[in-house]
Amino acid sequence: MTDDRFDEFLDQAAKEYNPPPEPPREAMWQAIQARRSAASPRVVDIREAPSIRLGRPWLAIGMGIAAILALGIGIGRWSGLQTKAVTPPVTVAGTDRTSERSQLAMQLVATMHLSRIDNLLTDLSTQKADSEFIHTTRDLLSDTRLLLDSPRLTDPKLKRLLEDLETILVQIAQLKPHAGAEDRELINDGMAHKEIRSRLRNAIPAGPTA
Amino acid sequence: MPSTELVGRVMAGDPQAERELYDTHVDRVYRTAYRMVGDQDLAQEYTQDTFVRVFDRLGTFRGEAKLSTWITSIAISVVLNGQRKVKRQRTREVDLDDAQGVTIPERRAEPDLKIRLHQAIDRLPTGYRTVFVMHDVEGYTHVEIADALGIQEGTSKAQLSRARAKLRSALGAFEGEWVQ
Repeated sequence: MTDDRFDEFLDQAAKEYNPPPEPPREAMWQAIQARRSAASPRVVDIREAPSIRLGRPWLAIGMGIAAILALGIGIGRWSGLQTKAVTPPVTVAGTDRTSERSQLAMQLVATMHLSRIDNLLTDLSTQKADSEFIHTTRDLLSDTRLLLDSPRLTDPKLKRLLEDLETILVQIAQLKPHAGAEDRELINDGMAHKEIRSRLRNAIPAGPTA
Repeated sequence: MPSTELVGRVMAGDPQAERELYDTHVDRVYRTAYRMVGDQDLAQEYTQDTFVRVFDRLGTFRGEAKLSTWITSIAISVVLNGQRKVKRQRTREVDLDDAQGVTIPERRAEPDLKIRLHQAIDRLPTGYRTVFVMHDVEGYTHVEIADALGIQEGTSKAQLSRARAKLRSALGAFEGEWVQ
């Protein structure tokens, strides 16, 4: 055996590694558009949402919250950048106020986001994992990742909770439409083990805001 | 149409330009993601994440690299971050199986040589595997890989060479069988 022969074999056989199927272009485009419009901070969307005919009422509410979530994260990031850019070495009252405002925005969006997840987890035991349910889960997963990436997320307890929720949402997002009870059981066991529901409810001070 | 002009139209809010940008690059992003993960749902999720980020960050594209390279770098970052999380999740599941005393029976029959090769590719360290898949499987050049991964061209070549050496060593038992 020579290096050349091995390279020849490799060149040919490597091309057959994970051969991709035809990309579902339209489905992906629709999903991308939906996520982008949900993340768009257009207040008018929230007012229009109830008139949209959706199978589940909380989806409409969720779309509005997603818009607020994106706006809140945007404010948090913007004020973070502003603080970095203009803050002199001496702390001034204005900076404190900016920081307080952005923390408040973060708290608000986090509470709304956690309420949406709480609703989803409640539905998990009764709803079929159809495409709409999975789509909502993926939106929540994406928003969870946005929150985790936010420089304004300074509460370690909230961060840990979001990380655990991210794991749960990944599992739910991978559920097949006719997933058996065992799959859901596994997710429920994971949630029970991490005390997700009680931690989630503790983190939502006055109950769902949506 | 030059990519700078397309980017300008997207930034100006032209929905047709958005679709054009997507249509131009989606196959390459999806194919690369699929080659890296070998799972349709994950490849789809990573492709969507990539384009959401592309449209979100298009304002930061300075035109120093080719648009396709810039998009690939986002795609690779999305895939690698996503796979880290999936790996953590799977490790937990394996731990759970161990705790319950579940064992998977060892396969007796030797799999086909190509299957062994694909399994060996799966087991390559992430850096080697990324470069190997991009270069040997998907046909990216070392310059493109270096730009997309933010590494030197020489590093890309070295990673590929080490990846091939590891594969050769992993298939040592089959020495000579690749002469078909």
